[in-house]
Amino acid sequence: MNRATPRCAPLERLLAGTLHYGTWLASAAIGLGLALALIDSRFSAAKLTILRDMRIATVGIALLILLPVVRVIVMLIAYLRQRDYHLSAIALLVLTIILLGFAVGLAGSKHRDTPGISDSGVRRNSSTSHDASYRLIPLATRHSLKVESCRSSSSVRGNSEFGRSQFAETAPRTTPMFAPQVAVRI
Amino acid sequence: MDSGFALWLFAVSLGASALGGMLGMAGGVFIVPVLAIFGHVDIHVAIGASIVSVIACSCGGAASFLRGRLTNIRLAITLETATTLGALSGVFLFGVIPTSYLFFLFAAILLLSAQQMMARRGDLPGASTVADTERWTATLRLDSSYPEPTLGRDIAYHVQRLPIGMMLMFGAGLISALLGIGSGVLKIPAMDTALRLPIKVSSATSNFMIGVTAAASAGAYFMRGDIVTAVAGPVALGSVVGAVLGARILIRASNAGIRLLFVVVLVALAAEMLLQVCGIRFLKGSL
Repeated sequence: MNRATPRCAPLERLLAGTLHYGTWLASAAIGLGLALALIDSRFSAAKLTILRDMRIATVGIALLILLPVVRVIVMLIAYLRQRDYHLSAIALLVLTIILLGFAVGLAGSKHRDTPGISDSGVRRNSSTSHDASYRLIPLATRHSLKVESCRSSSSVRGNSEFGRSQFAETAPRTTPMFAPQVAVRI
Repeated sequence: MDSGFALWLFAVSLGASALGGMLGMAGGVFIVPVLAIFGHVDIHVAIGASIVSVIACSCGGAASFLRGRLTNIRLAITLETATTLGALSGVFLFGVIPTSYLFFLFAAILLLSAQQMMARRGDLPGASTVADTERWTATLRLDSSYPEPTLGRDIAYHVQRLPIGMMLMFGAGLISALLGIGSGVLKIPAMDTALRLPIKVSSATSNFMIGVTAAASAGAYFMRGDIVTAVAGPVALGSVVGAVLGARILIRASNAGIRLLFVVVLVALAAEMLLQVCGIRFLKGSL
């Protein structure tokens, strides 16, 4: 194919390579994380390792989400080097909007995750977050925990608090932004 | 972790992405309803998982389109300003809109997709003779060309009516964030009818764009904690494998057959989603 496309610009080739290998890297991380978690849930009941293993998959998902961001950054740098300032500005605008999205999400979760602040934040979308935690707690920790039915709102509160305190012991200090929000739901 | 459920998620998204990949779209439009209806996953969690799978499909498929010079990256980044803004608006609406409305909206999009699938897509005749290249298009040098193997040469094309295209793209971004789909259902009319792009270019460019669009909303959902690894992980993996498989099958399977299969599945899912809303309404009063 490369032979047939002599005018395939270096930028296109760079982007293709970035996306191709990035997807494989992220998929590998997710696959590894899930495989470890599956093995763990089958053969042992060590709950700390389950949390740690799901973290590998979470990092994989984060990589996947960051991949398009990297792609926009690559385009921005390329256009700057070509002195194409119109498109550089556009790329910068797209990048800003995406980062704004990350910031909006972070702002939406902050009050829930700060330790010490009680559960007021969990009510954010009360009707939906119940079901989410209901679905996931048995999923993630079925073998290691005796989870009571948590359909009712009072027990959801209890469970989310449990998730937080669980995580507080194992949380890595290096990735404070990524892991905690996910762990709350797990 | 429940291995049976993880495998089921993997299989569903593999099938959905393979089916979607056959017609050059992401599988989100199947993944969300199947997870919500048959998997009893909360629709918000299903949407969070699906938006990750949209990124996986886009990034996984983009490389071959880029190497084939079908993707117009200058046009893509320009339109992405509109799609990401739309996605950001969708993020704000996501927590506010009641679940039953999401089901309704999804059913409507499914039916719209089915209708679009029936109307055959093709290159509109006489489009590029107009050549009223607008100021913006000229400034940004959006016009380009693509290789057409049947003719053995490059075909030049003009990008037309950029403002209308941008508006439709804003809507596409909004729907994408809200429902966790690539929303080709809105991008396809935007690119075919408004911008008058050749069909191969619009497919490739749309595929390139959905990743960035989805990243804007997925980033917000991820930070907020709406993306649940136990669900999103298997779905993302299945989608990558399914997208690769789907692209292979695309070459062999007959086009009319796939279309019919698609329409049947879409209508069935739409009906099921509407029933679900009504059923739950009867039982619980409201969702």
